[in-house]
Amino acid sequence: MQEIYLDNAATMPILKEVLAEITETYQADYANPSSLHSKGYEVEKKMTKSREHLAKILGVSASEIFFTSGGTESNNLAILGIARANRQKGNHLLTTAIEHPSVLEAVRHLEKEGFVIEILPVDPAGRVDIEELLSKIRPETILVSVMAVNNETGVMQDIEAIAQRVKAVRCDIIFHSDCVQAFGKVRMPMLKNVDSISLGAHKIGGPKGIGLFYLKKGIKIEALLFGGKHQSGLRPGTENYPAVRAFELAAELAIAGQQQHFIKAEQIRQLFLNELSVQGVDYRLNAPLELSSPFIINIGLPDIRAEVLLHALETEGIYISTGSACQSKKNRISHVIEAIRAEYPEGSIRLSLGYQTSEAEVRQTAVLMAEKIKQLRRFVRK
Amino acid sequence: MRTAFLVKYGEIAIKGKNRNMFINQLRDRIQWKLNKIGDFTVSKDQGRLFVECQSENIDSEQIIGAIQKVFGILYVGEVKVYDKGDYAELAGHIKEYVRHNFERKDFTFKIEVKRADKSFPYNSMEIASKLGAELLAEFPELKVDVHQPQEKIYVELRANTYIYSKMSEGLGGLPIGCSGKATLMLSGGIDSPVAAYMIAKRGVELNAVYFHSPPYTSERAKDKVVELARIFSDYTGRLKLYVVPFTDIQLDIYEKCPHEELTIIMRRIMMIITEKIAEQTGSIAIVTGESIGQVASQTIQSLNATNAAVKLPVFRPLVAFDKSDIIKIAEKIGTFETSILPYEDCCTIFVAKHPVTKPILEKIEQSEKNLDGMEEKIAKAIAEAEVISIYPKSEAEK
Repeated sequence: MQEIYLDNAATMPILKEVLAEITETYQADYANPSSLHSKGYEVEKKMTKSREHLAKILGVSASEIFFTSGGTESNNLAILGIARANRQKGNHLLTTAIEHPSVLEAVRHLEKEGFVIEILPVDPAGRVDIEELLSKIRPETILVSVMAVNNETGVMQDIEAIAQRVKAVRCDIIFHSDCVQAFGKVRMPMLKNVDSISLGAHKIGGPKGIGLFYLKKGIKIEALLFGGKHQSGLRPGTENYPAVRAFELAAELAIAGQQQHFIKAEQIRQLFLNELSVQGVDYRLNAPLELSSPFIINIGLPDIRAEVLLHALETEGIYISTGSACQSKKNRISHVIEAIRAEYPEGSIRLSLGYQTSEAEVRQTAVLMAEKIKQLRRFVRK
Repeated sequence: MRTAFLVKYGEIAIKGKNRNMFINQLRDRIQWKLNKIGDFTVSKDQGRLFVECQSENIDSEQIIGAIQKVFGILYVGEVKVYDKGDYAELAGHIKEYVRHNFERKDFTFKIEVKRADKSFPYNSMEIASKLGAELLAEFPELKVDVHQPQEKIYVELRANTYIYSKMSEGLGGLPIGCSGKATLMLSGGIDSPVAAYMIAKRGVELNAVYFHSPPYTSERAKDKVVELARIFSDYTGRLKLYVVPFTDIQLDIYEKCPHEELTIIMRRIMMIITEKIAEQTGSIAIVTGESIGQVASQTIQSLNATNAAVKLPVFRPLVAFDKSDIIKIAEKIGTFETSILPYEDCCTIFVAKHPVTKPILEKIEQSEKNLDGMEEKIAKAIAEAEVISIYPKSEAEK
């Protein structure tokens, strides 16, 4: 059975060249870059080169880049670290209802520390209303966090515009953006008014366990981890050069191929949706196509339990994801699907494309999905 | 002096002619449990079992913890064994015992003496008071309190001399294997693992049946059931789990029977399959975790309707338990945390929005007549069942 992997927003398979590079680097450059001897120093120099390269790709300076274990840690560091370090300026935090749990849970944690948090709703398309956001800014507001591309629906926010408008209200409000699903997939926002961003390598064909945190020079932050003086003391822990090198290569390849990947993803997405219609599948888009990353397709299906369809498709070697975990208890609907008031929350599924995804794969997926949906719809709860 | 473990059993001591069978079974169960830890011998001695360790460096807490999980035991504790000797030697032993087994020597105590060996020149009371005086002389901060002592020190004069003080409570019940074999209907919920524990506590050996309905139930849900069985097998011992493919049967019922009766009919067919597996595997009863009124399929009327599908007795140890009481036991035996993992099945489409709560058997049987070919489907499901051998975690690690 040929495998069709359509869960690339969860993780993309590691690229062959990246795997080869990380294997080689683990073998050759195993020394600790903090070691005083020349072998360590060699790795430190390479590490600096990788950092500079990634900084160049992002258009920032190398000293503004910190390597972390991934998107979750970067988001945690941004929210917890920035809020705590700027507390004397105010205690009000603003974010949106569709953020990744690593932002939302960090914000909720801060509520216990006495911060006042405000979580903005989104419109049915999944977008934040800029005017509403601006109206919530108070004199005590210190941090605003808005994600660039939602991981479940793929909906994109106009980060540049939001950041600019926020800064226009008060330029000392710190603006963070979770760009994990944006980088290497869609055009990244200009970082002029953005103070910090989070990235993860494994969403673009890099290895798991390595992420990046960008923090604009001059922004106050507190560390979450304590240890050596690595990375200016903000993120101690032995630097994982092989993973950094792999991230660098994955980023380089992603950026080099970005336009081509984007156009291909748009075509594949359209082809898939056309094919679903041809097959007579009744579905609702959970995010408008023109506002979404072409790499993420989220649709609602009437009279279908998303997880049942997921398991039915896995028997055909097709791997997708759900916006809802199938439980007979509450909380089964994801907070994002709930926030956009999707028409068929229980039947919402996500297919996410990777650079490797082919037209033939999604065409076959549409055909098999139609077949499974037909079978499953014979049995609905009465 | 050697360290051993004393096991006191309750109920089985009063069994009549079968008493030896019960005791031998208990001995074998303890032996079996301890084989996973080290080299032990378990011997009988007049109404008690003694466990002696042949290996060095024993961890008493681990051994007592393991023995505590064997059904049929009232108390278990560490005991010091001394060679039989005269009174002077006995007095030496008890002083040594107190010196080494109590960190502080300022407690109140009472000595209780039992003599299976009556060759001593004093009676039990006399020995107790003489030994008490010896201890008071040796450790001046000790005090005697015969009514509410902080520590009771027991001296038993048998083929050897045994001295012990702290005993831990066992679970009671009867040793597994004394009471025949039953087949458990196991789901991923909170109740059925507790039912397994309670029936096994009465000495019943178990095997179990789980109904798997992919894609409506996931692989994770199945693995959760396997994990639950593994947890309670620490009490019930090894068992076989029969994973019966159930999707085709469920869909067939869905298509051919009235929707509000789906659950009852499904439960009846599950019972029938369980009974057939029970018969094939030497079980003589069915065990479920049902409790009156918990859900529509567990009203008395519904229980009657499902019961009528089979001839074997159906044991429902939780029938009169509240959920909160069931949860307490689930927490005690360690299944609760796994039971509430959210891999709930997606079978809700097979549950009517308004299921019958007072089914009439004749009507249900009438509906079931529509299920042509069900016997073949049942036979096929049983033939295709996956059989999983479940071992306690302690055994897997060894």
